[in-house]
Amino acid sequence: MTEQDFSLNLEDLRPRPAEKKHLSEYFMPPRHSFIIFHPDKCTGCGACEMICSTRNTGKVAPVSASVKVIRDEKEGKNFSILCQHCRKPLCLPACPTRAIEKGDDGIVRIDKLFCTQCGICAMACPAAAPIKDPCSQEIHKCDLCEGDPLCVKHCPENALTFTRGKALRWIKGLRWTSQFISFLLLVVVFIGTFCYFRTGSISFACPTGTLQNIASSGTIVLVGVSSTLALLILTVLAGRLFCGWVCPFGFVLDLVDKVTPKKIGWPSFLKSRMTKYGVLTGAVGGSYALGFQVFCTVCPIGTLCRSYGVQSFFKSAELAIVPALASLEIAQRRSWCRYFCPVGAVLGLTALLRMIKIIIGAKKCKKFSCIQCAEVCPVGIIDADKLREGLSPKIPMTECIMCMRCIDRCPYDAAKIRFRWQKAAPGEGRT
Amino acid sequence: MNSFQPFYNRKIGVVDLSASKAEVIPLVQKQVSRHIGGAAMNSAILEGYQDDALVFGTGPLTGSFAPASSLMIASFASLVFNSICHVPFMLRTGPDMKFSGIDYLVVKGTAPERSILHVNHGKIRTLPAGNLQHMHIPEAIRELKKASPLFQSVIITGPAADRGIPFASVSIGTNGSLDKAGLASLMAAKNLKGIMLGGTEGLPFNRDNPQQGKELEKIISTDKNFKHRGFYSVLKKLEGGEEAGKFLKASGEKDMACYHCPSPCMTHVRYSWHDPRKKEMQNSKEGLLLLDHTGYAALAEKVGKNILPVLRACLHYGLDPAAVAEKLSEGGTMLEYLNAIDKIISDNPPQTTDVSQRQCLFGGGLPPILTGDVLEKKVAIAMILGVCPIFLLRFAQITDATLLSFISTSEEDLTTLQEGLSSAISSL
Amino acid sequence: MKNRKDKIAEAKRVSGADSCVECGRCVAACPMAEMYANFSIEMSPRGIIKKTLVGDPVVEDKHIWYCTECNAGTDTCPQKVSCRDLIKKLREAAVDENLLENAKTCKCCGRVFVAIPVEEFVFAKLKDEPANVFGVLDICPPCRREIYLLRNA
Repeated sequence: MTEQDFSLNLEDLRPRPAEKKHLSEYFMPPRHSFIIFHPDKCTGCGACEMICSTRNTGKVAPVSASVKVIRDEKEGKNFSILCQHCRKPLCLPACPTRAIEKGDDGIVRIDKLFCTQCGICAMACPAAAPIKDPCSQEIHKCDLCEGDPLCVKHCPENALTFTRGKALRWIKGLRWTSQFISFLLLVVVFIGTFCYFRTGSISFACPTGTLQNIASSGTIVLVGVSSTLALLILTVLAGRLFCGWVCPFGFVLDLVDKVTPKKIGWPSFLKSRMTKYGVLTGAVGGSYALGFQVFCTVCPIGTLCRSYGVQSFFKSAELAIVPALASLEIAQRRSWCRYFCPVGAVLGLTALLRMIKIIIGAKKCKKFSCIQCAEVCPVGIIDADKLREGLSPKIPMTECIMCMRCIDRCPYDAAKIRFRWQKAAPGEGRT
Repeated sequence: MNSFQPFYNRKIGVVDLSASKAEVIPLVQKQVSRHIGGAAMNSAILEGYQDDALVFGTGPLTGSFAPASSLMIASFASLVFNSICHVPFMLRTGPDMKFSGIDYLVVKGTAPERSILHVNHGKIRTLPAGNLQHMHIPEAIRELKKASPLFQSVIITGPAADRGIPFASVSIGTNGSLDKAGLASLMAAKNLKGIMLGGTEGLPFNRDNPQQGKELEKIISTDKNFKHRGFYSVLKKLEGGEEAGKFLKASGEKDMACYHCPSPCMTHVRYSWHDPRKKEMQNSKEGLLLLDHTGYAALAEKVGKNILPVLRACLHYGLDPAAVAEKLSEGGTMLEYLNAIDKIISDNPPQTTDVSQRQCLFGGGLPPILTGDVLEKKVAIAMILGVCPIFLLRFAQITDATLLSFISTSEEDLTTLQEGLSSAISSL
Repeated sequence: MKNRKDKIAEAKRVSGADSCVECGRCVAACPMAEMYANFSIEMSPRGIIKKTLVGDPVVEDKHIWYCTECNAGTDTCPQKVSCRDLIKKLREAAVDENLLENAKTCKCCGRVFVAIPVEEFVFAKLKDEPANVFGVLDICPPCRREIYLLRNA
């Protein structure tokens, strides 16, 4: 027997529990209560520090509290820094003795038995929320007073509130319904509606199709163009709402996404948002050169819309296009929409003239402790890196498909729709 | 029996600057039942030392869960008023002294070189402060933060005191104070630049106090005065206050509260101005915490719309705004006022000041928002118990009985304390 | 300004290093064993105390920069020798002599706030996070709180 057989390391003594996911987490993660701080109300009285310190030390000693009041003399602002109980806490992996754990109630706790007071958790935390007591050298970190926080009760200005937040969660119901009905109407009921314009029947001309039509035939059918304009005007008013709420292929992609939660990822050289503008140029240029609508023959949206009953020479081959392109979903969510769709490209260009935008307000957003919007965005345009740094990202509306999952999910009322000319939501600071 | 529990460390610190020695003597319960604390205890302590001693004291409620329990009182023989004065200091000075381990600090003698005291863990140290001579107060505090150990608050004098100007004023951090009795020049005469309070200890507390404090806050919140808070709410009750308040329309306002105060009477204003003495044409943004109501009113009467930059200049030098106002005349430009203030500092200091115009209750610039005997009595109660006098004046529901209930444990205690309180008040 | 000898003498006095009996309890409690694969006697609390007591050039020694300044060693020491205070004083002496290769200074206030081996440990533990989180880690905790205020208030 060697020395190796008898040595124990941290993995043996304090193994990390395997990440178990509840079934409910596939649809919506659990919503725990947390403390929200309203900086506009804080007068810097320090009552929170006083009462918190009585719980930590049994005496009144504001420096030994788990909450620190920072007062900025020049700007005249106050802030109470306390642990945000992040969804993915950074202090957890950093602790050398694995003393920090996130409980099922969402509270991140330091087990005093294993804590050596090294302070590495404070080093890893983006807000430096664990506080080293200058007297006893202990590390104090908020533990929500096990569900009944004292600071919330003692703040004379009600600047601290204990709440589960108000995530909307009803937008998804509307959106799925809208997608389902659009699918029904465009694919099953009114066949071929969304492809080309035909006089005397309900149809909208797809903007990409219209462009290819003009390029290939050299003529402009005014009535057709004007029906395209309806969609373009919708985009100017409401962004790429079509992509998120109407597009039948988008509906198929979202369904595929639900059954393929594990993504394998793209190689990075393929991940350019500009590719779809290249596809658009190719489609229009090709139509001009070859005299027929090049892309329309392989377009997955068109395939879906025309697959029932419209005479087409490539009918059987066409049916393969939809599953083939839908399988791209396994690489990344909505990768077709992000990188390849020329319809999305045209709508993206139109969205340059948009009237509304989605903002993530800097004051209300909890940034690194939440990051739910970035995780839930299907086109991945919310910059999670910026959030982790502690800044609120700007959302590029030419890429946003207006699915509004971010607004639906945000528990802090930070993600909102605003008119483009509005500087920020009221009461917001700079981003 | 004397079983009441004041929020005390039960320690008195005595510093002999001439001998560079400091010791800590105990504070006994008998003293507490006789004098209670605050200004009355300060007077009792002062009797044991020579005329030029200073006492910085707190009350039995300072730092506790009583509302607005932020008070520190400095008692000394003032050369401005020729009597014993008691100057209140709010913000966080009182509690920070408690959390530094001592309740009362006596300073006697004169230091051989410019020094600054550092109090923490119940110990007092003297540190050299020669490099801070003639620095503006914000700069001096920055230097202190860089060089010295941890401190939570600081009481500091400015270049005006260094120059020996009798109406120099002590400043709590960069925010000025209610000192109208010339404490700064007395400290300067002792070669004492200031006092740094470490504030890292804790004190045991009465278990009922947090709940009592919350109940008091509830009672106060029903008062009609509760909604009117901030600097302007007190300012407009002074003579000429409403006029002066017009110039408060700066770019940003935020009410700031002292330690554990549920109804702030201070406001932080942000404003942008252009210094006429500098060549750059850009406006610079500044912030100022307004806490001296009478000083602001007196100064605003003279300088009008230029009040905020001129007040800032006074605070940077450590000058009493009310005394400076007496030296200025109405209708000048900002450049004239700033130059006049610079001249006050650079000229040879006047030997005396004319105080006939001013009324300062006990020597500190408290805003007279009540009148006559009631004013004196309420302020005396506040100064003895260690809670903010302005808070007591604004809310009549708070009686001495309600405050004493924070430290008394029975009816007997309450009566003993009330008797002690009345005798303490009369001694003032 | 004291010279190095005086500083080391004061370090020994403040920490009580002379009372060390070399029992090794501090090494058993030390979290460095979990943090560093190359944990050795050179960087252990017992080792540093020994080196100081025999008069080795500890101030220049890079091994004084591995400690996290927790208090586990002092807590278990039967003689109440404070290894943390010793390391702190030795590091202060090194900073005074500008021996800063292993010390990380805050980008905002310029103060030394963490030892580089400790910082590298934190980086390694957070390596699964995207790189940008480290931008925040270049700043000392007090400055980080001020920046948090400016961005959120």
